[in-house]
Amino acid sequence: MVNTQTTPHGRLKQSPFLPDMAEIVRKERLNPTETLYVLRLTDGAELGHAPGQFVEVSVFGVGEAPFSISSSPTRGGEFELCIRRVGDVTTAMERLGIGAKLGVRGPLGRGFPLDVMRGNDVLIIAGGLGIVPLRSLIGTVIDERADFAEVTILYGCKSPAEMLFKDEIAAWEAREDIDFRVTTDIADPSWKGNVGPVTTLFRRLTVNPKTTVPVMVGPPVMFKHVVKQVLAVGIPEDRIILSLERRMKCGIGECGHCQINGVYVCQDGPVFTYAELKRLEEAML
Amino acid sequence: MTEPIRSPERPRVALFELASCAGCQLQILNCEDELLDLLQLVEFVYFKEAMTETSDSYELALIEGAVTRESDEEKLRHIREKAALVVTIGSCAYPVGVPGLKNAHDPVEVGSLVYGEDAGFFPTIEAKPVDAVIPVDLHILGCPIHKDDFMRVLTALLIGKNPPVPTHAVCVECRLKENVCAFDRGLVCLGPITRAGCGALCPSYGSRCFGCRGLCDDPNVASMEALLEEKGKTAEEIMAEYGLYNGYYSRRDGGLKAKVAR
Amino acid sequence: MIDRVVAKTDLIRSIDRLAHEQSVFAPVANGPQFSFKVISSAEEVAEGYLPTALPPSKHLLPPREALLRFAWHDELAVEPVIEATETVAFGLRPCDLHALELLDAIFVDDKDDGHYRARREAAFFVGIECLEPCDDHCFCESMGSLRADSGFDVLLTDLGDTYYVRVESTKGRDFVLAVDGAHEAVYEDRTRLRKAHEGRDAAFTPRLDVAMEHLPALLAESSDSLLWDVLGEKCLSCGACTNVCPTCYCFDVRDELNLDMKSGERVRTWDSCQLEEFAMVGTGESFRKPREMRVKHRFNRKGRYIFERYGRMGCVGCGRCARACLVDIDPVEVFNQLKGRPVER
Repeated sequence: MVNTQTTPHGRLKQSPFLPDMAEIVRKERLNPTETLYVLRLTDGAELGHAPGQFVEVSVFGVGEAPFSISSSPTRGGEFELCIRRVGDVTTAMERLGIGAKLGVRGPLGRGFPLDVMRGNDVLIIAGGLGIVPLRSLIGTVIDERADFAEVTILYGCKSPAEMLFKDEIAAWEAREDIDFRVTTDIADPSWKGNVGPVTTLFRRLTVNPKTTVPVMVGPPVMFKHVVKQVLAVGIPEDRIILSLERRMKCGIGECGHCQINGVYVCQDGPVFTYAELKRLEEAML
Repeated sequence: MTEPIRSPERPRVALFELASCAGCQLQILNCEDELLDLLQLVEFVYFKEAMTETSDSYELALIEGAVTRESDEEKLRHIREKAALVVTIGSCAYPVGVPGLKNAHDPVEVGSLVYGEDAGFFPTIEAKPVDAVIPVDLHILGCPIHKDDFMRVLTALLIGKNPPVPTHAVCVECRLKENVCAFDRGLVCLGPITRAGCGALCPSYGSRCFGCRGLCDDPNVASMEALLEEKGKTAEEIMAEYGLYNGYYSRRDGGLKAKVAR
Repeated sequence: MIDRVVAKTDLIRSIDRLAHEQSVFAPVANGPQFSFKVISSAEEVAEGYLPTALPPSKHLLPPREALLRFAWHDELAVEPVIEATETVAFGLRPCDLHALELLDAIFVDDKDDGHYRARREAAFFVGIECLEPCDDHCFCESMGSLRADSGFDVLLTDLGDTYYVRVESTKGRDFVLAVDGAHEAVYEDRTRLRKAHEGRDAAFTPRLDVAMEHLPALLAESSDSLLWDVLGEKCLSCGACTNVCPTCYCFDVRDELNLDMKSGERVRTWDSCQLEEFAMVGTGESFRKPREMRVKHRFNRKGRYIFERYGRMGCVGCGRCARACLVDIDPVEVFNQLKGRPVER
């Protein structure tokens, strides 16, 4: 595969759109719409990502789409994407088998500010698919547990059936050094836990505003309510961390699709502090 | 829609004709350079303008033309049952182009105007789009369809992705052609509210847009009507302007807030 | 570098020679409007033209270009498409030169986009100064783009039967030395140039009520203005304004499959923030659905966001969007109304 050519001027002509190649190592159907893909770069290199970053995945002939990386970089080698079937690329991926080749560009964007979290209490709040990028952060926090003070994880989903990573959740719940709480909007007969939005979990927490770094990923409506709650307990705006979803097409701040006011989500984010976003009306917070 | 129709290896395609000029079928036959490739991809089992063999077993049904007889409705329901995928081709099938013009007139008058004394032998009903009778998976738009559009849709269906249907207006494509705007040529043009995908064909050849592909996804009809009024059009003239291709839905919805093809 | 003076007829002859040898891209008349096209003889070149229908940036960032080619033979092969033809772009106006410098700042300096850069490196820019306003829509004087000081290889100034040629690159020097009878500019030539500039300065008057450097603040303050609703009601969302804009560069990327189903291209096509689908995510939610938000976004990009990111204005005052708009949305009026002129519904 050619990926660079030399110009008459001796400089490299490079395409920022040329992906690396990856292959599907493993696939696991998590529920009717979500599948976990374990990928490996075919040249054997590590992806080298930070939690919160994303990749652009190509199914050639169908297209390219952005996905957050769901595995922790501390686990090395392979990397994981958890993908909901919603469009052409995601549907095409479901048809691919083990060993199939995909294009991967990335890691792209700005991840979670681990340096701000280290030494502090970490409060992770996941709504729905928000657990996907946060799982990367949770893995890192667990693997480097000594670097963080109190660790609390709140996870809310629509129904018990939509809950992702059930085995891992059981392991997080079992840990003594993590306070993990889960809730669902609608219960089913098997559900014994909390019912209600993720804000109901937050209400029962005691949070130290001086030492807590809240990190949240979820739908816009969750941001609205949770941000209000963490502000109310006195956590400063520049220590509230959120990750946004927009239409990241090029992934390098060129194409304009993911722009929120003057900000490119793909390049300046997808992880932001609330202080960075609160004046941006298009952030919809 | 995003499941590829790749089983069998060469999906069988049947092309049916309702009230139309058959021009869209001819567009497919005009794909001279691509025809051999096309036949590698699919097997035509029914195509009146092209072949005499027929079959009642197919995965993809292409339907040209508007519904104008009760028997058409019966035929469509049968097709819908047989075909995994129903795709209309051309403006007669959606949004009902020229065959729909008769809807603006008294049906008895229309019948005797066309068939004279024999009108009684040809009972027709209000001209309707195909999707008024059966669910349609996709419309390939245009009067006639464009062969490139047809090929793009077919390859997309075969690889299993949503065919690229533009959501925006013809103006987007027309500006890229650097055409002199029809409004600057003293004409009125439906380009600002009509779905793109034709490459602004008519305006590029000195004409203007008649709206054959139906409305775009997000037409600003109020502003368009104000613009046409400013250009001296009366309300009746504006409705007539819409009526050539978009009469069926605009009459139903009392304006151009018409149903939009997706 | 040493400035030169050439006779117009000699320069035209030189362009004609070039047009026979290589790709020369120049403004050509098309009815009442003009388009940049590859010419085959200098006769085609339009003099005294209005800003072209599409901006010359279409040469560096084409409305449709292949980024990658892919094919499955024994296995999948993917390669970038980086292709450029040595091209002389003749007759670029200062407004367009400013816009091209902005695109260079983004696609070369910031993004190092090889597709764009290859074409930029293979391009030779002949600018031409504007000595009088092209029509009622242009407002380059207000946007600081009436005068071009960089971004060209040579810059021509019309001195009647001669051109004063400012030379800014070695390629530019070679170009002008190839023109028959080119001579070094002397004191008299410089005097004539100064006179031409004085005439120009008198001919242009600023049309904005707000200084360019205050536009970002004005737009930031105007987020809640009633004007956006008024414009949202009028706007047809036809994308004309962004297509004709020399600084608009937003694009879409998609795969096109050949009929053999075994090969295809990943293509980049111009896109527009004025279209509803532009900010739509996979799940179908559009983050800038209301028309007035889209209109506001465009003006903020032109007068604020791009400036905040790249230190250059995202609008050069060429007036193309105002000429193209069917419902008379004109940036001069928009900015002036935001500044305090009454809003008319």
